[in-house]
Amino acid sequence: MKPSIYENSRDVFLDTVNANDYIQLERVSSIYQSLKNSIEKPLKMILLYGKPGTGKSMFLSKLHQTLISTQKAYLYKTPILDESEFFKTLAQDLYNMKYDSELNFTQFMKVVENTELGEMATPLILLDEAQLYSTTMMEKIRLLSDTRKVKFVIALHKTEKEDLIAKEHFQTRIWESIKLDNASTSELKIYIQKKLMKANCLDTANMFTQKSVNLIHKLTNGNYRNTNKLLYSLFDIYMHYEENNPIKIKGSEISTTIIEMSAIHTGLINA
Amino acid sequence: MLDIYDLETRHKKYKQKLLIPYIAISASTLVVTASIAFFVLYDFDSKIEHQPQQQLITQESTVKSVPQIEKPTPQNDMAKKDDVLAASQDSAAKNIATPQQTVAKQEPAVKEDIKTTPTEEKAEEKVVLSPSLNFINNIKSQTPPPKEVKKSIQEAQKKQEEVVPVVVQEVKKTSVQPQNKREVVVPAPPTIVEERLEPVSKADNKNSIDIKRKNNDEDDIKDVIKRFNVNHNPALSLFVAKRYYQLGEYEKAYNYALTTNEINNNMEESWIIFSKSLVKMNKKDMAVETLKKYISHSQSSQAKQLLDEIQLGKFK
Repeated sequence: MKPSIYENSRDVFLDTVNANDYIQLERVSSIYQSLKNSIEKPLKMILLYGKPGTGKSMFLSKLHQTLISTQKAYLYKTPILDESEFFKTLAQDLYNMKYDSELNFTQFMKVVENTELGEMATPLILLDEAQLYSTTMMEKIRLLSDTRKVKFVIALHKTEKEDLIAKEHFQTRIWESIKLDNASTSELKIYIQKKLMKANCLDTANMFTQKSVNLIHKLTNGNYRNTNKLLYSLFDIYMHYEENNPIKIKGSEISTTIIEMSAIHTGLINA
Repeated sequence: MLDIYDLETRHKKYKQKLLIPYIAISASTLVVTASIAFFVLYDFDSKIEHQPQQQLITQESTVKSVPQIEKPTPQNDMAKKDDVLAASQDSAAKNIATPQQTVAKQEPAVKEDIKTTPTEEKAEEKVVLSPSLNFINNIKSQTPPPKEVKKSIQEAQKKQEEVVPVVVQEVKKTSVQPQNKREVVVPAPPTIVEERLEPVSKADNKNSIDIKRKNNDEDDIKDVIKRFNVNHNPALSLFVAKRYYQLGEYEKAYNYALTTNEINNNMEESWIIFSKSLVKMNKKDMAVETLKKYISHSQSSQAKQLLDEIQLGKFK
């Protein structure tokens, strides 16, 4: 049985981090470019921060996918909280050194300092969800970056207050910091339509008028993750009506009622 | 798994929630607009105009009770048989006066209320006009013709008894009528009431005066003659002579004047009445001689004057 367009559209908005699903938006691409420039600079660490769902993980994935062809770049999507394990993983990835026993920070620092990079570019370590690392661990990561033998791009999300603290904390160490924000209405429309067109869902992409996107932006506040959840639920409802009550999805535009129902279902509207 | 039915229900509730503020705002706006329109467009004068009416009605109840209290007064007065007419007239006058006075007493309070607004002054004007006309018509229609009163004293007394209650009733009506029409309370000008009542009282007065004179004259003369026969007081006989002369009974006047003169020939009035009676009985010469004799020994100026008038033909 051939899947319906609504089913395909729904699957587009599955909440997964896949660099191939990365949507190149104007503002995001400029940020991406500035990040790439920062990596080429002799900066020790780069901070990427923003609220949850602003695309930090996707950003890191895309960056990793782009850089991996030109230099050593390692992405750790989930934090390695054990210190010895963290250093052993780094030693394995960066220097192909496998340690069966414990590897403490002092031992790993000696390894890093004694390693000659040669003509190779400085390897890049991308740490997602870095807010989960302890402060001590973060200090050790900073000391590692001070050797200039390894660069770190750290993505973290915290509350606005904690973001500010984090920003100040890293700024004192002359780190580059890049902030990611929620999408604007126009960006959100491009994001949705590009995402759907990428999956060849042109019909459903054209159903999103400015009015429906405005409502979606009002509900999600431009948050990409919430938008993905909402639209997944929306097309799920469309699928249900397509099978049981096609009259309700007769219009050529995305139904406001179904958008609101989706918001209720995803908890964006408390009804 | 989607529960569409539950989702639709929740969505309906959500939409209803969204409408609540709009409904509340619309309702409050409507209420505010209506209240503003009420205060701006509502004619408060008309409402104030009704207030004096209510106050007047309350005043009417007090006025209403006044005639009832006064009611026994004429009945008590009527019980006095010695002076029925006078008493009835007085009582009628009192009854007429009392409602007016009570109404007049009520007037200041009513006027104070009425003076509060100009519209109430208009109400006052209305009050003055309408009730008095009805009152006048009632008075006219119920006023007995004077001829019937003159028939006899007893009939007149009965008439008086009938008339007096009528007057009282009329007075009551004047005070009661206002209850039906609000204007009534505002008392008709006192002058109007008095004018309408006057014809009744005048007729009664005429009748009573005539009757009284006849009674008094005959009774008095009889009484005086009886007393004269007992004590032969020339003053009494002279009184009788004067009375008969006034009544046109000149022969009797002549006799009693002569009788007086026989008892006391120095009483000037007996000579005058004697001479006047002679003239009235066409005995002018005898009257002149009598006066001349009297003048010769008394030198009375009044006798001289009468003599001149008789001789000149002025006294006939």
